[in-house]
Amino acid sequence: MLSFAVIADYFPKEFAARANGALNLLHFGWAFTMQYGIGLVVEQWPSQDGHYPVAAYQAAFGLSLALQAATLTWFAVPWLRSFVRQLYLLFAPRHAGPDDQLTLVATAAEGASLRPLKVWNGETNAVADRRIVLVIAGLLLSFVPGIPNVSLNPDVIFLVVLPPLLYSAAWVTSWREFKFNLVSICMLAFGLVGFTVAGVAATSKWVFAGFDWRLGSFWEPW
Amino acid sequence: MGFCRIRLAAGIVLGAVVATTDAIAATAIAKRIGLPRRIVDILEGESLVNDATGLLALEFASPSW
Repeated sequence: MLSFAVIADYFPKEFAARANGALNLLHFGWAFTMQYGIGLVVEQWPSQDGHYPVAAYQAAFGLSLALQAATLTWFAVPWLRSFVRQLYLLFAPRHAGPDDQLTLVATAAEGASLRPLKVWNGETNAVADRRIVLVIAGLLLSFVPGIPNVSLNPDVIFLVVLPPLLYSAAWVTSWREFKFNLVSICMLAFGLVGFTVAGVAATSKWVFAGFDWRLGSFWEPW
Repeated sequence: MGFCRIRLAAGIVLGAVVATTDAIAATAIAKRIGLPRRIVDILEGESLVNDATGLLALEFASPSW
């Protein structure tokens, strides 16, 4: 209940009711989301006679507890925030503002997807630089012993990650210019890609002799 | 003979992975070295569509075939 009084202070008087309404919606919406999420986690275990094993609930509640602990730490330990901010400034010394928390979140999302979100106009250079840092850091991390080998189902990329990326790329594309250059674009997109694939396929035989790229990296060995 | 076919499919997979450039990366580099507007348009459009060709090539080389 305290949060309603606190949030009213953050907004002008005429918006206080609306802010409290939004907060209320968030409370209930989040409660439903959490319940649904716990169900999702529990479902990962096989059920016996309509019951799920104890480990399923332990994992679900443990995950929820870990999330809450992480959130509490985030708010309760100011130095952690400044540390992350410093880390962020280290990666993006050129344009980062000290209060750019939204950008920080976007950076993490972009690092995970390996493609920058186009949220900053004209800052793609700095974005590309930070991307390289994230890729190299991930690469180095993979050499650390004891780090689990995460395998990702290709369908997740095709059905969850790729569509929004292509949609956003299509959204910022100028279709007038696309139509104007249609012939060149099609020749490059189909002809050049096919040519490159064929060329790499032909030369990889000698360059990477005895290494099957399909094993391990992309599909399970059959 | 079978060995040769496996080698070729693996090569096609590698080619499909490296041939499809990323739209934003291409734009970032093009801006840095100051390419003409028309080249940038072509590159952006190409990198938007080339994923389709890459996926087809990957599908073509996939073991479910």
